[in-house]
Amino acid sequence: MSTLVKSTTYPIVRRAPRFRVNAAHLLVLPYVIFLTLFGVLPEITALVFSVSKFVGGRPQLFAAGLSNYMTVFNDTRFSTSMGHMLNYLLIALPFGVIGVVMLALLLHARSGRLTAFLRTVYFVPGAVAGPAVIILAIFMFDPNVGPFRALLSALGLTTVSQVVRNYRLPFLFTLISFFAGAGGWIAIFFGALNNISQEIQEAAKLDGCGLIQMALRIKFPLIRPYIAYMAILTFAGNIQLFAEPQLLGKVQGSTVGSYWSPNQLSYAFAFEYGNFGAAAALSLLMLSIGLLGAILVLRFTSLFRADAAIN
Amino acid sequence: MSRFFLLNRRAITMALLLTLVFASVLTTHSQAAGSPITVWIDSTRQAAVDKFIAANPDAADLIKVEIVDRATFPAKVLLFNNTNSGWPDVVFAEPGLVAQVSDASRDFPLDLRPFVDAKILANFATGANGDCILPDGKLVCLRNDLAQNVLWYNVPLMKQFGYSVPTTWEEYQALGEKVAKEHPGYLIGAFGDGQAMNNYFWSSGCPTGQLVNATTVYINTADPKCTRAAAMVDVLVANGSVSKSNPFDPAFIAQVTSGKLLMIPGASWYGEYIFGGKKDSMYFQTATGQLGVALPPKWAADPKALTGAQGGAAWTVSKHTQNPELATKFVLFVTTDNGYQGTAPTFPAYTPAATLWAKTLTANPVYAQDPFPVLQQAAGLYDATWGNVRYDRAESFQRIIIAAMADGKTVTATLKDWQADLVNLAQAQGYQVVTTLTK
Amino acid sequence: MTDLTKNPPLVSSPPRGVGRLYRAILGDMGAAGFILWLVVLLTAAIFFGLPLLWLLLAPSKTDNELLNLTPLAFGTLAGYAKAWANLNTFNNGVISRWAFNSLWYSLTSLILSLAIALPAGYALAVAQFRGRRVILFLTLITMIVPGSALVLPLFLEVNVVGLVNTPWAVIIPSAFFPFGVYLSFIYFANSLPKDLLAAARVDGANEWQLFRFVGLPLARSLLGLLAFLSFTANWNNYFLPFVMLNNNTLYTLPLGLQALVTGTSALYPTFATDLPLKRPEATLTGLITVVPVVIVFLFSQRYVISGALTGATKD
Repeated sequence: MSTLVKSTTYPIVRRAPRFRVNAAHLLVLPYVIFLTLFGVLPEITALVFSVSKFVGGRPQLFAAGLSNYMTVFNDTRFSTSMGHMLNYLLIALPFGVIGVVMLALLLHARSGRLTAFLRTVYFVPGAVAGPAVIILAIFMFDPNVGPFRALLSALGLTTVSQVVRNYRLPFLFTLISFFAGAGGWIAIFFGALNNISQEIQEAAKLDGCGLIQMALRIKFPLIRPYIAYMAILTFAGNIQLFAEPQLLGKVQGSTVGSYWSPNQLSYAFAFEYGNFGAAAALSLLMLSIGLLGAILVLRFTSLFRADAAIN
Repeated sequence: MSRFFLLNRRAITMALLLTLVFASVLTTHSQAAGSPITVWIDSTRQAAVDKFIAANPDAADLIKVEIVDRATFPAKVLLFNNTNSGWPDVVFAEPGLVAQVSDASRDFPLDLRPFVDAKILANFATGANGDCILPDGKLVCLRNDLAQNVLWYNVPLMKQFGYSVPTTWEEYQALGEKVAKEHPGYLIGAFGDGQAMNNYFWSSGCPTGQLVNATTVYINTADPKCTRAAAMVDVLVANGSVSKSNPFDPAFIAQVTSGKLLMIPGASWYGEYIFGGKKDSMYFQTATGQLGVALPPKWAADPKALTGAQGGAAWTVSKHTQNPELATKFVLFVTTDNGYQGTAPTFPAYTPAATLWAKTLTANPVYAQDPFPVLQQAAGLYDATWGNVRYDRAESFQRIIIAAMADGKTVTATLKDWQADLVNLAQAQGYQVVTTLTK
Repeated sequence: MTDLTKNPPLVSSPPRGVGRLYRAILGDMGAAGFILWLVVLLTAAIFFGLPLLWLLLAPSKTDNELLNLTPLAFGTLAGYAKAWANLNTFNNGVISRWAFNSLWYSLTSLILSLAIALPAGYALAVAQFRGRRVILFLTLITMIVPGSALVLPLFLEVNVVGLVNTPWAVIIPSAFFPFGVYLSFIYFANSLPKDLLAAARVDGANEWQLFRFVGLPLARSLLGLLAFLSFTANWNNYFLPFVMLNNNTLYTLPLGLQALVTGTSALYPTFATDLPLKRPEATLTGLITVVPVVIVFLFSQRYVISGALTGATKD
């Protein structure tokens, strides 16, 4: 058509996106600053440290090549700690995810004062964390002191050292982390379940859906993003297992040692040998494992899509 | 006019010179006395600081005390090295921790030799400061107290069974076999934690970290000095006379309080803190003169008895201190002062103070007779070849040997695994490892 | 239309008398199902609840009573006072100082982290802007990276600005709360009514107004949950204060109590010390770290549990 009349009236709708993007940038800016300062920058530094030599505890950047990684691989404790971590993951991850989802679904099956009370009971141990929960665990595992002593004695265990045997450690650590962490996740899942619209549930009931089917066919698929999120974070957290073996190892006569988990070994490289380079190398190895798991989970769910609404 | 001028100039010069002299005197004096020092201790050592300040009131403002968890000391030094500041001036820590901070990456301690009179050094118990002397001769700490292992035994019970206290490990083993046959259920020792390593392997001279030179260690658990201890322990654990629990395990304590403990090798502080004889003591809740103490047994083939230790700490000074005079004065005071060490909770490393300290023992009626002579003699029996190495052997011992025993294996069968682990730990700490000694 | 003859609806005519009570209890479950359901949940309740109940009662007993009395027996009220007095023998009662430090570090960090995480999660969920996926991915990575790798770099960073051995060395890094941003993102992504937002935009509302008048009010329950999680994480954080603080009087509770417990004979008798710190005192240290968090939890209960993540479209 004619090019003489240049249209200068843009449709209103096109103005909005530009305006929208700027505001979003501002909202997210403080976090981006913190993410850079306390997330990205330290991670890049750690990467650089992993190929740096440490003399007198001070870094000579890029001087080490791959020797830090070789130090880690050649240490006999590397393979044993990785084996321990694998053992622990195989038990803790399924136990954690299934336990949380199952309890959340069971709680949601009927509402009322009982389930509200139970939710609170499950949630409160989340308040105990860090050294306090380990100290509590030491007492719980003690067949002479804790409230479970009848159960432990029935199993034939009479002293703490009998309970905290090396082959039982993955299971014991699972119990500890489930105790401290499950409640928070159950609360999150419960909220997610509450978000499922009543209409869907009513319609399913009318179609003859029993409670179990409701849980498995309706509720479960709709909370999959949360399960994925939880799987990733639980996996990442489990890889970083540190406090439990570190403190349990200090109990008199404990055979856990100071190098049970890879994170403990990394800590030892950093603070016992002053070799922050090897510590960074080991941590990055663990990071890649965690990342692999995360990427796999992300592939199978669309966690990052903003329009992944569940209602 | 000119004379006046000259007089003035001379006066001015004199005045200037005098001011300079005074100034330098004043500043050096204030520099030595002026820089504050930070002292890292645990709460029990507060008494040491208080006594020092009482004896040196002008130093009161210069001493800053921090109660710390000394296990974090090596880690903290690394952080300080990175910031080039923040080091404490004086630290109370075990010789093992001092060894760790003496490594290349930390290089923390000050060499105390220029500050310590040779006569004073000679007055410490024989070998007490051995762990404080680096292979290159540097004196990096002064021992505060000793925890020499001795043999504690129940006097009336031994008499009742008609046993005599063993003076050799062979006799100890024979006694254990006798006890298992005649009085099963009675105990002559414990093998459930790192203390067992110090009691049975250190005293045997087992080379788990013998320093050949500053950078080389000799590790060989197949050495006869290790295998003889292992063989003995295996027999005694198998027949039940040595418990698989650790001495502080409630199950073990229950056996002690029901009167089943005949004897146990243990540290010098067991007398006051474990046996006790007081109402809330761990082993003996009454004091009826039932506790006897004997020298640690020796292996028949050895020329003399050797002993290990379980604990005992030292004082170390930072090489970065701004006031080395005050810092070393403090360390010398707390390690040698009769007023403090004479009333300290554990056996002083400084012999004259230890003799005074002996009186606190005689006050306790739990002892059958004065334990001090035995303790003092045992203090001189440290096996110096054990070596103050930078890796934690007790941790390795518990993780490898005690764990294997929980699985039903024998010590002898596990010595190989222990060897592999010790070698790995030593190499991680930067040592060269040799498994044979070329004479 | 469902064939009612093939699948009769579960809702039948209202029962009478005992039947009504039966129905009220069982709901939609059969008797066996109900019992199984109850057993599983009660077992879990024992697992989660019994240790804390024991912890509450433990400091009231003496060391011997802990071994000899039944686990849930109550000692004496004076037992708590005695255990507290004994704890205060450590370094002239520095424990109160630690509690105070923990409180103000955690609260300050909490406020900062909420102010950062809420807007960020909102923006990530609502807007399409360049770098959105990168931020999400980096956040995920940061949550997976083992802490020990970041310790020295963090320490060096804080040292560069000269804040080591000050409270800010703990407060500011703790305000970085990637988990909170993720949670916030998922919440806003799933429970914001898109149609409401679109309508408001057409009406000319700008993003700030949308955030303040639509996003924030809806996030009240998220706020409660995030506040609780942030406070708990900061309160229990051990590693960061350990690295950043040297001065004993700046310590937080976990740090100080750790030193207290491992440096005395409370749990590990190889340290010969004259301090009266045994097992009841160790349990009291555990109780002290737990009680404030439980109080915070009870306050935010309304938001944290009952309304957790309830969206705006729930009918």
